[in-house]
Amino acid sequence: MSDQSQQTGKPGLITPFNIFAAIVLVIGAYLTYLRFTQGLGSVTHLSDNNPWGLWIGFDLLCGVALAAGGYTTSTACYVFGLKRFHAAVRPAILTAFLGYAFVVFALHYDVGRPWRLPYPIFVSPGTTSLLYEVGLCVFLYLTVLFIEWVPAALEWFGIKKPRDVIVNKLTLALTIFGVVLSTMHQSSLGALYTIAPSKLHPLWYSQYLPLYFFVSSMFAGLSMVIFEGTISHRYFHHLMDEEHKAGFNDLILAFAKGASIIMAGYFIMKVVGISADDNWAYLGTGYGLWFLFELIGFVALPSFLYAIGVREKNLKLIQWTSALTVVGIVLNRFNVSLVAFNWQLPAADRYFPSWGEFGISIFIVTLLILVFRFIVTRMPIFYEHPQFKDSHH
Amino acid sequence: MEKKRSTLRWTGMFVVAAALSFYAIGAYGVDAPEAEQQTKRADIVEIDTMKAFGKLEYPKVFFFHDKHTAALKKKNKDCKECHLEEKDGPRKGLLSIKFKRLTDDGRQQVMDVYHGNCIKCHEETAKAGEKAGPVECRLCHRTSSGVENIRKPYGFDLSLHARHVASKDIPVDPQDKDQANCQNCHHEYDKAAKKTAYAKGKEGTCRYCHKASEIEDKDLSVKVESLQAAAHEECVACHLKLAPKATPDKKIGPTDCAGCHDKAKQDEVKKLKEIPRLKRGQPDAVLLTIPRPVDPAAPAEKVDDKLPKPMAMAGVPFDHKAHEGYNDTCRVCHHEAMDACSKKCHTISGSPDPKVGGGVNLERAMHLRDSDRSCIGCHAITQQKKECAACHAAPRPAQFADKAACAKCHSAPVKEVKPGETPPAPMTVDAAKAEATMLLSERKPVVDTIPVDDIPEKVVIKELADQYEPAEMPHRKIVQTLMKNIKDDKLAQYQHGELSVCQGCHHNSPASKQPPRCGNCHEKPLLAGEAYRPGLKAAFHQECMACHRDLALKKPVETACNEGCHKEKKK
Amino acid sequence: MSISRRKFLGLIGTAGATVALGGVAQAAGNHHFEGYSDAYGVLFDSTLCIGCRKCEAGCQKVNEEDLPKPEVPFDDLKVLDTPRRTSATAYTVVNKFPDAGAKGPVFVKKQCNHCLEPACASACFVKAFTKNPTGAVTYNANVCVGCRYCMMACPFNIPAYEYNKALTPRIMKCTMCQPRILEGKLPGCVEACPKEALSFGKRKDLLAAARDKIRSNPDVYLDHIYGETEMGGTNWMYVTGVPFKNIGMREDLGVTSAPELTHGALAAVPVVAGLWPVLLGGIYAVAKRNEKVAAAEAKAAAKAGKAGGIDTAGEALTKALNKLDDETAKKVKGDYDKALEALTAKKHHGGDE
Repeated sequence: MSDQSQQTGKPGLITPFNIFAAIVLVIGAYLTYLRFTQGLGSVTHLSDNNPWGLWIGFDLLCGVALAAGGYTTSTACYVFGLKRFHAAVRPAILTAFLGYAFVVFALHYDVGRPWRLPYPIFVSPGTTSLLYEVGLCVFLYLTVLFIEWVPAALEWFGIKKPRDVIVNKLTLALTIFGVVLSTMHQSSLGALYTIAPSKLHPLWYSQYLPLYFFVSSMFAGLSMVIFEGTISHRYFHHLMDEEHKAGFNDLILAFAKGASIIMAGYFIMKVVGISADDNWAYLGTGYGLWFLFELIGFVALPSFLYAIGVREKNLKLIQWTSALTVVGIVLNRFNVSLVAFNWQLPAADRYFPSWGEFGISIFIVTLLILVFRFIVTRMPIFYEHPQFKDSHH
Repeated sequence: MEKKRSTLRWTGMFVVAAALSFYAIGAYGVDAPEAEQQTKRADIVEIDTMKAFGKLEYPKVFFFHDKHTAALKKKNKDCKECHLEEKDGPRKGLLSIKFKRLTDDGRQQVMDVYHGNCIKCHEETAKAGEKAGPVECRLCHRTSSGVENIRKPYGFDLSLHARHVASKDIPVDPQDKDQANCQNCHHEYDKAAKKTAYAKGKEGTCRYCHKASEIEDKDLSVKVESLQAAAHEECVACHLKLAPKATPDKKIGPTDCAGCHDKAKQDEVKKLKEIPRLKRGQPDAVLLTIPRPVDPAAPAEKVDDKLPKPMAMAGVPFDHKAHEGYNDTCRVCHHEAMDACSKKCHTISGSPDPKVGGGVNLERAMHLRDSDRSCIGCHAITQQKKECAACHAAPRPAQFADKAACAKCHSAPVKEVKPGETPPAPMTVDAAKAEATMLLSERKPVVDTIPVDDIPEKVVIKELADQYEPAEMPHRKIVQTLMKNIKDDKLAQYQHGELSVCQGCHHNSPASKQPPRCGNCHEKPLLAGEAYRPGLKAAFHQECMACHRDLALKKPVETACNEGCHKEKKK
Repeated sequence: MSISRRKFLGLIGTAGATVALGGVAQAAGNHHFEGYSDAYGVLFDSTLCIGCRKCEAGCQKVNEEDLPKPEVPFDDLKVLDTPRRTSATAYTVVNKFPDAGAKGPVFVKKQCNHCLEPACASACFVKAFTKNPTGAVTYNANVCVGCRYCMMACPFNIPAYEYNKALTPRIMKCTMCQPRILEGKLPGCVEACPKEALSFGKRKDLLAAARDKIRSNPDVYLDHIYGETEMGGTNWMYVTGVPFKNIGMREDLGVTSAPELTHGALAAVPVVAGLWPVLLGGIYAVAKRNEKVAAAEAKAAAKAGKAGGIDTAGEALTKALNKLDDETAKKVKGDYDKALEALTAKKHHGGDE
């Protein structure tokens, strides 16, 4: 669906992105085959000392954090009553839904026996575990997101009754339930690491880890909405209706403001965390410099840049800053799960992802983009379905 | 453009400010890396005299004494350059170890003495174009000396003492019938005359009066200077006086710090192989008993009626003469005074004054296992020798469980007193000495009296034989090795009479030629209520392997089961 | 949002019923578990171990179904020269520490420590681990999903995974020979050790024995039983003569058990579930009310204007117009400045296109 195809009228399947995606899909299929016939050891660099690698660090942790745009946007619109963000809700919900769906998809690769994924909920719940908490909430939230997204599909199919029920009666309840679930699983992902203080570097380990992950997910979501919105406006501009286009600048400014304040608060929380455990001395080490790089370059700096952008109404600055923030979230999740984890092991025992792991991760992200593209080009995400216009509150 | 620049500028300033402030806070918490310690010195003197006047404002000064004496020697200057002569008191005419002063009167005075003299000398030396010390405050007042302090304390042992006694350069007292030169060093404090004087027959180590720091002796109403001050004033002054008499063959004692306090130099000091017996009129044999033997010539002691009367005890004849040769100094045993242990400090029930005797009563003073001063403690240290360690090194169960061992030392017979009879008068000192001498001469070392045929040559251990053939133990060879190790040690020879050498392995049972089987006591590990006792398999392995390790046997290798004791079962 | 009395009572009733259904919360936080009183354990004495590896051989023999015979036989002691950890084919390994501070090398056996409050059992989200009354921590491969969180959680780095199996990978770790000890037999390693470096018995008896060893031989042993309190206590304990950190055992693990570490986060769950809906509902209600009030005020203002307060309306209009003027002026100025910037930029880069 490139501009070229619009002009010539022919479906332009041979685009650079499509070629790239096709290659990735083929490689991904092969890696999938390897993984499920020869085991994790054939595709990953996972070991007994490093049981969690790129797939958990990126696909699970980053995926969930960056999909937080769903609950932040719908809360802003429906709970805080900021109706002017209404047009941004569906894209955010879609991003979140696909994000979580592909997180679960990615989990099928990482976990040893993926067909047993329903076991913790339906067969043998281990309620002492934070992972149970994560699993249950992700399962429920995926369901919530599905229900929140499905009106778009129903509109596409023209099925009115269930769509009206969901939109008119269930929206508020779903949104609140979504926030509750998001709070719990975003923080529980951070809390997962509190069980092993001896393995995580003191600068990243804290009793406040759940709080850190939850608060950072908030501005991760807000930034992701700006970021994904920017890219969508570049590539799917022609699909968007006036309300969507008109409201976007306003959304950028408002979300940037919110993100800036939350990041400032997060920065202070991190400093309090260091102070509470008296970890100042670690700042003078190599890991300390890396920590400061993450904190100042990817939290303090974007917070500051967002503030400047809002004050000067510099949309471009905000959009670049959102990219910086997204990278910062990825960096933070990588730091907690891969860099600061097992920091005390000798270099020979440390983990670095294999090509296979990179391959599957890229494969999953590509699949996500393809599905996203499929949905937004067919379903009323960026525009209101003419038949269902104004039939929402 | 302007806006962008302003944005960038502000961002840049913010980032730099944040980074710097964080780094400053963080770096504050990190310890500065320790300066590499390269040079080693034994002459470091820490000058913190001002501590007596309150908290130190500046760090103490690290002063290298030998460096200065060497530098001054080159200019033909001696100790009097820095050290003044005492004007009065018991040390009149002798040098004070204080720097350019005799007393510490106050903060300003002490400070002025140091600053005025040190800095002046440094400045003058620098002006003369020579290498001089620092004149800036922080170069002397430092938090560390910057060098490695290798100063080791040095003590006077019997070998050194004998060399001093024999030295022709230390003048003899012409009026002394023994022609001894003790009066040069040994003194007591005469309270009436307010000075020190030699007291014959009362010589002891300096440490009896001179302690680690200066103390006030209330009985004698005098300030007793520290051992460090006393030793340096006496020894170094005398060495300095005699220094001109040194020749390549005859060494005079050192006058610089390193000479005594550098371990390398300490190792160079000649040690006599045969040390002639120190003459102080000490007894050859002593009878350790209660009540203590009475000296008719000495004044009667006060007896505390509140304390219970001591019961009679099987006395211990103590070979004092032999024991003099077992230690480097007398003060190993006579650590506070030359008196008998129980005279003032380690009384039978312990001294009522907690500062006297350290709360240790007589029985503990004799029997404490962990001390190097008690009889049993010193014997325990001897048992750590390689020859003895096989049976006596930890962990070994119940080393002194056999109470019959008590009689080995407590061999003087007890005089029975029937009820109604008056107890005999306490022995006199001379009578006690005679009894002790007689008992000591009666002692005969008992070893190697077991006929060879009574020692089984091989013992076949059939118990637990499962994976391997029964193990064959070369029993006689082992016993004869143990006997050989005992042969040269007098203590071991006397203690190991008859069958007690068997009890090294056949432990926790009476000595016998038919000792119980190991399996009688060792069956399952962790029997309820028992102290830890290994099971039978472990008892065999622990006992044999531990002994082999202590004797440093190269074969059999512990992990080579087949090569050592266990032959594979023939299928 | 108005609600009928019936609806309200219904909601409260449901809530109450739900609460009543719940059982006693066993969130492992406020209670301190001292272990099953008759649990067994093993005491390892490193002063006795000679590194013969008979324990490794004994373990493999007893677990023949799960552990294959190794390529390098157990009597090859050269493997001790490289430090090893437990793996998918070895429940236990012996490591050699030549420079630990003792006269010769010190050997230490490594295996699951069967903690009183195991991190693996706490971490497992399918309850695949059980802390048995015998003291053994056992693994159930029939529910394991293979998430490997137990491997992350174990402070001693013990559980190993069968990464080479595609469809039936399991966690592999020492079982303390639970089936054997239920029959009254000894664990395979304990039975094989010739020196009784391993003793098996009730944990409280082992503690007494260890204390006795230490008290009787203060020169031989360090005055610390490793596992008495580490990570809340373990059933497999160690005594040595050299500092534990010299023999590869971490001294900085603390005495807090893993469940206690995660208790705080877990306890927050019901708080969030209960509080968030109330808070968010409240915010929604306030926002909705603000909207209503604003709408009512606008209506009232419009009405007032219509009724004839033309002056007030006029005033309001003038005010609004002025405000609009100011805002527009600001915006125009803003745009003008931006355009100017762009032009000057173009000028400066002039001709780069």
